[in-house]
Amino acid sequence: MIKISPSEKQFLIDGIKQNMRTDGRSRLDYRAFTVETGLVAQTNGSARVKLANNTDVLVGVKVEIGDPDPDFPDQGRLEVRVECSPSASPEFEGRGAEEMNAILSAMLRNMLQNARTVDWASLCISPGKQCWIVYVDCLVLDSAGNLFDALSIATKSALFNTKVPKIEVMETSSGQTEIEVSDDPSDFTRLSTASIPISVTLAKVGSRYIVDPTIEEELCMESRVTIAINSKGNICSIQKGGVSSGINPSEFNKMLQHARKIGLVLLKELDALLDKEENNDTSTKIGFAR
Amino acid sequence: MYAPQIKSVRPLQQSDKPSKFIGDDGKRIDGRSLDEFRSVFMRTGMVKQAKGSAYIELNNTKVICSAYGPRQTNNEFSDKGMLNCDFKIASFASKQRRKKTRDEDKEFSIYMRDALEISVNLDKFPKSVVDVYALVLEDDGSALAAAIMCGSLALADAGIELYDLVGACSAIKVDSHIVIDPSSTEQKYGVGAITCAHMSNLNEITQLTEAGDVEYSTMVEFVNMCVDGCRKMSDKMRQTLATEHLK
Repeated sequence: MIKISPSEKQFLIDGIKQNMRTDGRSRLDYRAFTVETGLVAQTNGSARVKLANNTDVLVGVKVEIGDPDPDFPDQGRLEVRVECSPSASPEFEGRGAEEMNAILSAMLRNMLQNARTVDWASLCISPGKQCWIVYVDCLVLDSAGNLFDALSIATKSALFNTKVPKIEVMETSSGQTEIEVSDDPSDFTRLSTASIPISVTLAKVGSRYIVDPTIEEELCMESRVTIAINSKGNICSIQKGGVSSGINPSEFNKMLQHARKIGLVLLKELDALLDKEENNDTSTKIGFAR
Repeated sequence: MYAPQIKSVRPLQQSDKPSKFIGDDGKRIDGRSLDEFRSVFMRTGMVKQAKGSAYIELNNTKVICSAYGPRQTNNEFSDKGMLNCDFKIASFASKQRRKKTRDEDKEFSIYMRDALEISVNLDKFPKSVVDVYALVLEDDGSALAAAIMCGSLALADAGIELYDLVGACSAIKVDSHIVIDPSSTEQKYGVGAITCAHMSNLNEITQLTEAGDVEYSTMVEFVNMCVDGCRKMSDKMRQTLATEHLK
């Protein structure tokens, strides 16, 4: 685990107070990010997101046919799993990543699971019997702070990239349904991803808060609020973390407003990046690590 | 002769979704108004083995909680104490038997720890850890909020030094109305489930989780209603502690 000395911590906190962070950003500046989609051939959709070349996450989406949730028989199902690889940080070894994995996947699940973000009803094949299960598997390859936002951006990109094979449902004479999955790779449907949110993480340091904290700044923060925003400016999920300070309700309100503003800008940027990625000729891509 | 056959059949899938959550008189299905809690019952000292314990009932949501410690940690040296929370839902707690879903329990344990740890004066017990175990016996909605309050009461009962009691409250939007302390039916079909924990004397939100697509203005209303709810609950908690410990 990375550790910083008390004086280094004070330096960071003082810098934030003066609106000048160690990497030259002001409090509400976001780091530049890059998105690549369609990297893993075995998946139905994949994406890799890098925040300032340092935080590096890879998301693979696989769709499979399976049983629907008995509580919601007419909808598709979502399974999210986040894995912080020990290659990113030695503290993720063994059970060390358990807690991190749990909060990261909870955040993503809360963000995606409500009915309006993805049209879950369209992923139902035969009500109560069969549906598409969307497995979202996230790998953290390198961590330099703000895994929450990086994962949310990568998940949206991977779902944008996802191709669901076309199927044909047939009723056999004995009353059973038979499903035929098209084996033509160009015969697919896309998920509706326009209203999938991305998250903006605000970290409270002293009496101020900053956006997109680096790993050193995460060590100074008293609490963290991750807010998911969609393209309509609606709030899709909130998760507060951090154990050394509470937040005043009026201050929380201000945080919401800032997150909303930043989220809308990020979404616009991401949409442009994804469009470019989609129209790019993928045959020129070589290899995974570039 | 007719020979009966034994066949395995799927249970009928019946939707339990009511046609209306809010009646014409502005009352909910169970007769409550929008910002009314279910009948609350609290007491402390349920578990004799524990240093402190508490029990909370929000009608059919029942949570028992015990606090142990402080005890020495096995981890590396820390000049501050630590709080360890474990949240469990009994497998018979809801209508459908719960299969082992470790994920959710783990998630809620973390939420609970974050909600409570801010209220504990951790400087008082360096190198040590306090354990709080919450067990949900019955879950009819708002189980996390009940567990947070129960945990706070158990810590107080155990004599751990606290900055403030933590009240907690859930809310959800059904039929475009915001209701607090939702039941499990409301929770299943509502939008934007929020759970908020708040220390009323310090006016600080210690924990807040939300899931579901709501507008910004609704969110602000959510937070305000929850904070009000938390205040009501922490008053009730204070009364409970006073009557149980000063008798």
